[in-house]
Amino acid sequence: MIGVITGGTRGIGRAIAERLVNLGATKLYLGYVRQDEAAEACARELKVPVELIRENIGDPDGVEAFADRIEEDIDVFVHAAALGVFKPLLDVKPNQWDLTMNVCARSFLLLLHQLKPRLLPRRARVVAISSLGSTRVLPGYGAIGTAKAALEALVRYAAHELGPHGVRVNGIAAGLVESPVVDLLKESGIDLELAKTLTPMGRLGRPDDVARVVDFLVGDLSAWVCGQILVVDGGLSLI
Amino acid sequence: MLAQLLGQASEGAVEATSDNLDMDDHLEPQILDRVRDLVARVLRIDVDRIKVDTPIIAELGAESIDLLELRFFLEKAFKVKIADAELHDSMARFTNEDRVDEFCAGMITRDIQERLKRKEQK
Repeated sequence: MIGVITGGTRGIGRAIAERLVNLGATKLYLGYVRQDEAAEACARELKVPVELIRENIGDPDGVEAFADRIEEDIDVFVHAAALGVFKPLLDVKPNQWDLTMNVCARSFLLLLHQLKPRLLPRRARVVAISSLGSTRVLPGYGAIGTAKAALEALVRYAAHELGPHGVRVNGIAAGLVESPVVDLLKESGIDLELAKTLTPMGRLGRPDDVARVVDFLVGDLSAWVCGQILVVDGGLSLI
Repeated sequence: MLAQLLGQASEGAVEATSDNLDMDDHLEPQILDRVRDLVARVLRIDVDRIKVDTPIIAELGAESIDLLELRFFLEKAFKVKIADAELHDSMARFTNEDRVDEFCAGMITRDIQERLKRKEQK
């Protein structure tokens, strides 16, 4: 199994990489743009050959350079990269909006363009990592939440277009997961203790809670699941 | 300072401060103009507003995400790698100190020149 993960060296992306290794991945391509040392440590620690790709996929040239690095047909492609500004929506500047949209959403589309010839031969499974902020309001999350909503719409349209080729595209809307992002949400005013209290499962998510669902979405057990966004949030969105 | 703002300070990186930044010396006009263009592109402002010593954070209002985008543009334009970007930490450090006033196109230019020089020597 050949796996490609954008944002694959930290947090949820890293947990997904570990899951793919357990599923039998023989080689992983992991994209990242920040924390070189963490990326190199990740590559060392995973027990399969890893190609680290340090490209800005918010830029079409970066997407092309990313795709050019991939030498084999792909079994699993996970888009976990996210970058954005945490601030009230009405304070978001045009360049910040563009960067957020381009990294979170447009890059997924452009990568599908570039990778399509690598996705079809092995009827790849594609998963995009979104968040509850696509449909719920989180303080300071307006730009990223909007970008995630666009990403989810892309999942549905891509699933419709690629499904006839045997390529399944799905997404995950993750709830509050322990990660550096959650710290930023805390700074934006989200009461994490309250969130835990309101969550039926009584805790924040762990990166592997999301990775387990990727495990499902890339396997045969989800063969009839196409173009869906699965909510993985410990039940928080029920409230 | 660029390395600290846009990424980790690599060994031998320029430690540019207002004390040792000589705006009239060693700045390649072509590189400076390119840097000014990139800062203008990130901040969506007229390039004329960006002088060699205009404070990018304190006066032009650049934020951590803007500096990350600037890092992407600089890496692409000059084909250099600016390692690691702990921008939130860096921003906190610099906005809590008077040194925030020092970060300007001239400093970026000198840092880029140093990086290009080191790259050439390798």
